[in-house]
Amino acid sequence: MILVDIANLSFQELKYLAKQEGVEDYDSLTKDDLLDELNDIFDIVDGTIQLNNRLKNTSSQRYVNSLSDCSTTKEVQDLPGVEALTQLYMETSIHFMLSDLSWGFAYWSISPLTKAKLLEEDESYLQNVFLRVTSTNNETNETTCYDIKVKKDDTCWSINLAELGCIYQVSLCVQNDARIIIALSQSIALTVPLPYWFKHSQELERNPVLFNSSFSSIITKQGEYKDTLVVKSVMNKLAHGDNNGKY
Amino acid sequence: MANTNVNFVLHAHMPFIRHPEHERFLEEDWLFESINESYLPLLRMLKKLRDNNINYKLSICFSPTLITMLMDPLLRKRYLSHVKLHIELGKKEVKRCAKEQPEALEMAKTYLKSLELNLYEYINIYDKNILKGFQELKEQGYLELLASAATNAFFPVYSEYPIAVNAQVEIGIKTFIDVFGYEPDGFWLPECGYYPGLEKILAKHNISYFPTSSQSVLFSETRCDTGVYRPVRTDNGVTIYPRDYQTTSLVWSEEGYPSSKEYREFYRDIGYDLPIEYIGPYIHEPEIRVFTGFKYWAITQKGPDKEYYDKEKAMKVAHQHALNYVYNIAQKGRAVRPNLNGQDPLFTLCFDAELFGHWWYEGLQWLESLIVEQNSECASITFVSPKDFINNEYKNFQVLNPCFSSWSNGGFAKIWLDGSNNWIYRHTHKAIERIVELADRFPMQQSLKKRFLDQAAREVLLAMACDWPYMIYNDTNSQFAKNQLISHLANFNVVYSNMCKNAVNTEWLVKSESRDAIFPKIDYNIFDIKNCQNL
Repeated sequence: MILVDIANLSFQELKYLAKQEGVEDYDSLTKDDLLDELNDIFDIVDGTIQLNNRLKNTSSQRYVNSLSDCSTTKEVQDLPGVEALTQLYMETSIHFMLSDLSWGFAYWSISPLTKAKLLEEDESYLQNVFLRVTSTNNETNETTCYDIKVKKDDTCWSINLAELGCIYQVSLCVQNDARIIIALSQSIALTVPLPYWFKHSQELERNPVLFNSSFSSIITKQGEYKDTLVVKSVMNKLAHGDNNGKY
Repeated sequence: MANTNVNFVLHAHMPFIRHPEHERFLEEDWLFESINESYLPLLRMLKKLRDNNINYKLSICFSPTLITMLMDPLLRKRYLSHVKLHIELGKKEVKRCAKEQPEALEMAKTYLKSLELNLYEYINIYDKNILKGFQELKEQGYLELLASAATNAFFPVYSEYPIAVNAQVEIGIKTFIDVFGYEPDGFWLPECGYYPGLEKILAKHNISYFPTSSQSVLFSETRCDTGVYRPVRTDNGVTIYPRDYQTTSLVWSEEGYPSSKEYREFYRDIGYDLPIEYIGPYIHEPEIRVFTGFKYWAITQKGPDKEYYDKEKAMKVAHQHALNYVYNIAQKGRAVRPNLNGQDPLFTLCFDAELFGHWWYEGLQWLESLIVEQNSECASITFVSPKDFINNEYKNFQVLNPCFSSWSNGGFAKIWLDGSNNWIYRHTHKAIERIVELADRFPMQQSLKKRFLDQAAREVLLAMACDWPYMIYNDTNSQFAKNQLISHLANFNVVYSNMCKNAVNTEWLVKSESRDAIFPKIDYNIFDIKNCQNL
């Protein structure tokens, strides 16, 4: 597997590479001379470029991000030459993912520019940051929403999704003292399905073969079922009757 | 006689770990251990069955990262060093056991013989390419090979970025075609992670089926008439093989077969037991004790008091467990049959390939007995090929929309969105957004810039691997996982910040290409939004 064939590089690229590798008079060498010099620097073994000792010694300090020691506990970003991962990115956005059918996870950031604008407008905005969770019921089209107050330094939140069969969307909002709300960013919409058996558990009650062919698939030989709220809820319904889509 | 069909799927995967900058790298041993204890012994067993005219159909998926590592010249060379070093240890062990620990002598000889056989076959039969062996069995009709995502990304957490999911699928399939020479029919979703709409991307790449978890059909909004005991299909025609968790858990659970007291104890290894002056050359510097593969004790009971391992006895138990497994599947097949409108049930059983031989030493014997049993004249179960099953029965499959799901504990995404690892996605999502931005700003570049951008695309894909969040969640090698992940993201950021200045760091590029040597034909334009508008 030859990934880097320096013979295929342009004259300019070879010159650049030779300069980087500290080849003297790189500017006056011909293409063939440059190739010879670089081949001396890189040992090509089994098609993979290895570094010879000279290069190892001279370059290991400069390109530490390709030489980071992953087997130690040393943090990569502490090494010179590697950009640390930022805690937050310079943008205003919110992202939303499903953990399961009853929990979602949102993370967000507010850019310095947005913060500055809000401060300029009314500094009380940044004292009241909240998430507005909107859920639209797939069957009734009814939309409800609730707010989760977060601290201004919070950047992520686990969100309980109280109802199945809904489309959820999370907005990152601020509110000033005059109760004016600004939605800074909105997540994608995610659907939490309403499983058929959740709504029709009574069919299972009357039909052990059906129950077996459906739910036995997630029951262990010890008779325990895979622990999910939805299954628990179906089991509860079978035992105690309906609970109106909530669980 | 009414029959119960079994779609038996093995998933072979290793995260991409390749560190040429170190002479020996501890985590690269994971690959070498799997070759020694699972892949080569599995291949030997499957070929033996073929030579004995035992008919079988198995499905195996080799993840693209594993394929790359198995094909990589540096890792091949390192594997040879690893196996030779362990043969040296084996010879020392045979002498030592004969003198000091006679109860372990037979196993020391067994391990040595197996290592010597591995070395011989690796060089002389497979010419260092063990995938050839699996391909041969595929061509002879015994195996069906599945493609998988480029770097084992867990798709549900990337549903906001279909372009990245598409890149994972497309590059995974291209890697498969490069190695095996044909287009795959089946696709393994990493961790069986499914989200609604994923089938559109798979259909775009001509994938005709994929396995999923039980929850995918059980929690569908449509009533699934056949439970997980028949395939179903999505409305765009891709077939889904839902896994039967219950039958799988007879093997893969805390109380599963592998926990039987007669079986070999995985965690007692001479790498940890013997004095450092003896074992020193076979572990990692400086005196980091590791598994050597030489294990002489049986599980026996919980706690440190163990009995010596009796291989003959354990293999008999494995055979009995295989028969018990056949019995359980057949029994359950009979129990669910009345609900299948006269159709034969099909059980999809998915396992990690490394379970067999590596984690569960007797697992290969168990699998061999299972395969022999399903081939017997009075067999009540039959291993079938998912592709053949589709060809014969497609019209009977129910159409439904599966539910978001995975095969993890709980059935969804909690493991990958845990408090310990959910910080990852802020960075991987941003890296995806930025590679899309780079592909848009610098389309169709040539030469050095193209290579620079291609490397950026590799690093984004490598950062998406779900192995890193899993290790962090599990708190096993979590610092290593964090470092791998951060290193890939930092590498990506080198390209991003340089390209924003319209510069190319050539020396970094050469070294980075040499280290993260994966997907040699990658084209960063795969992240061009124009190529992905209908997803």
